[in-house]
Amino acid sequence: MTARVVAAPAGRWLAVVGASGALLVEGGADRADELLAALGAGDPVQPVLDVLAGSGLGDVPDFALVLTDPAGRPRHAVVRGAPVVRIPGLDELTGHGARTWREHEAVGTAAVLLAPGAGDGPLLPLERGAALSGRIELTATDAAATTPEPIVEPAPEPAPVDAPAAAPAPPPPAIAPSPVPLPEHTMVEPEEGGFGYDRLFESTIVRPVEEAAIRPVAEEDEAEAPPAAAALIAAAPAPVGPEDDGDHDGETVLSGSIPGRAERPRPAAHEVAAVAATRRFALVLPGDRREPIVGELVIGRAPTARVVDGRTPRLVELDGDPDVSRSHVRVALEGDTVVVTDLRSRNGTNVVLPGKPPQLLRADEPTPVIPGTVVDLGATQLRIEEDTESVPEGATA
Amino acid sequence: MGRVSASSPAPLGEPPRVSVRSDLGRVRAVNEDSVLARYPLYLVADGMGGHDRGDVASRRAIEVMAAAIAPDLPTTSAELVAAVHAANAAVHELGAEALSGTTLTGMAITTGSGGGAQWTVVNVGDSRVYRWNGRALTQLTVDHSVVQELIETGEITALEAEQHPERNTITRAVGPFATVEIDVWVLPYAPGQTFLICSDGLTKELPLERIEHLLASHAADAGATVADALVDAAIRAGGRDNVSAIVIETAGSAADAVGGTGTRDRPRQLEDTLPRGIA
Repeated sequence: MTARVVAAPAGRWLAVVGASGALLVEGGADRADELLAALGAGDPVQPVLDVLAGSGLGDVPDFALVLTDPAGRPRHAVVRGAPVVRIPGLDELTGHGARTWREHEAVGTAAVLLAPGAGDGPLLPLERGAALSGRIELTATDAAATTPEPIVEPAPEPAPVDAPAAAPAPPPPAIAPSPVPLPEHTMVEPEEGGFGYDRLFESTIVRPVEEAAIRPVAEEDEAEAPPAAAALIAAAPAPVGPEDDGDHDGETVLSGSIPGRAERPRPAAHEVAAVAATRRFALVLPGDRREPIVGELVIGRAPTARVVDGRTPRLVELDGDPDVSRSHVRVALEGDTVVVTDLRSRNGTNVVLPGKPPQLLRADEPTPVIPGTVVDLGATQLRIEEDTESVPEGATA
Repeated sequence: MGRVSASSPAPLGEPPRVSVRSDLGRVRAVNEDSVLARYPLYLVADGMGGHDRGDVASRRAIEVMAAAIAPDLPTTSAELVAAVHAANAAVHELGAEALSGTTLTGMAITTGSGGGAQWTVVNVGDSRVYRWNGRALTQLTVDHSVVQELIETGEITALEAEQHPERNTITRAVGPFATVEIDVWVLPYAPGQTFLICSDGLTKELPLERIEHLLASHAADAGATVADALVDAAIRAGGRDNVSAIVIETAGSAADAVGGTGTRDRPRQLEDTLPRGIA
């Protein structure tokens, strides 16, 4: 399993990663050691709940727990309260509707555990330990599990230990067949119809990233074509040979990021944005141009925005200010709150709340603001206003 | 080998000027690339698969896209994304006997939520969309490839990626699986923009600086189109893979931008934003 946590604290949320899974818990810092130990158990649900419910069921903090199998694939989730668990291909797992917690079958190849208000930031690897963070991303390290090749017959070749003992017995045959024993796995036949040896001839092949990214290069060289072909075939959810030899995990390079995942905006955003807002806001641009704040606006000199889950952000171009970055700042309505995020702009973004000194935003960190706030991009100022008029038709994102 | 120039009206004045070329290269027996350049949709698909399935896959994907997006009218991001999902389903069906897949990368002129025109860029795989500002290329898409993963995690450098044994392994494609995850971006549509959409046969043969040089030095009155110039150069450089390129130029110059001050085509503004105080 490759686990990463976002390097940004979210309230008192604690991220704990252990051998059997990962846990996001509110205010668990004083019990981090116990939780870490509990996450090392073969079936950590009971031990973790024991720790969390230590002072009575009524005092159990909000949490999200994802258990993983030996290859690091999620298999079970327990959620209480506000956090959510996302697994590609499954509906979002929540604790909604339960007074205690909800348990979910949660089989997949990757999972994101997310606390409300989790910030964005670099994703840092966390193999085992605890950190103040509101977001954990788990990726299975199941190359071994999903390719047939490593059904390891415990390597017949080396046997270095008893070789000396038996040394006199087998005189090396003079007819010496190739002294380099061919590794078992190169013998695997590529599947008919697969991509076979294409890769050796500069052909492009496809392999899902979960397994592609983690294979050590050295091994790759030997095993080349066949696993590539085989991996594609076994690629889907791919049930596993039970004997996942743990030894692949030792080699795991921390490349677990699934493309697209890291760039996704905070899920809290669209979650809440989907709920009909009862208050309406507008962004006032230079020249008194008004943009209703519906969904998400991306503002800049030549803005580019990523579309997530079909929600297309609205692009707002600002002409004539060279200090403004191409994509400078994001203004979004989340529930009833306007949230401003600096998009790693070159010159930064200040927000000036009414009656307050300017505050320089940290890049990628969504910051809630109130009506009357001025968003200062340098020579250009934007103002957030509450709209008393109705939102024009067609303004919905 | 097709050459297309759009002839229908665009929402903002004239339609973009487009040149297209897709070529077998010097080594391959089959051109597994397919291209579509029909206003408002511009796509490159680079098929893959054993037993010459790749050309079938890329052609099928392009057919489905062409059928889903009507010519002559701006489409929407949602329609474009739905079309890519449909293409995935169609290519996936082909895979009943043998696995096949294709990259699918490109852009369409779409109507934004405010009613204005914008570009929507979609990408699955390692074909690419670049923006050209007259001096430098900026890659808009992010490759779905193993080496890109490794670059992002700092395992290898971009330079090492070129020699990496996994350089031809992509992590997403249209077709091999029942579902596909699509990268989607939106960006403004404006006069005087230039974009390049290409398969990896171009970028693996030609260093970026060489492509930039060809774009910068291409004379409008030259006999060959820009796309021809790029593809011919890639073939001369080896042509080990199929090579496809679409070059799109929106009408007008940047100074004509609606409400524009004309400042945007000042050279320094073509670069990234300057730190305050230096400008």
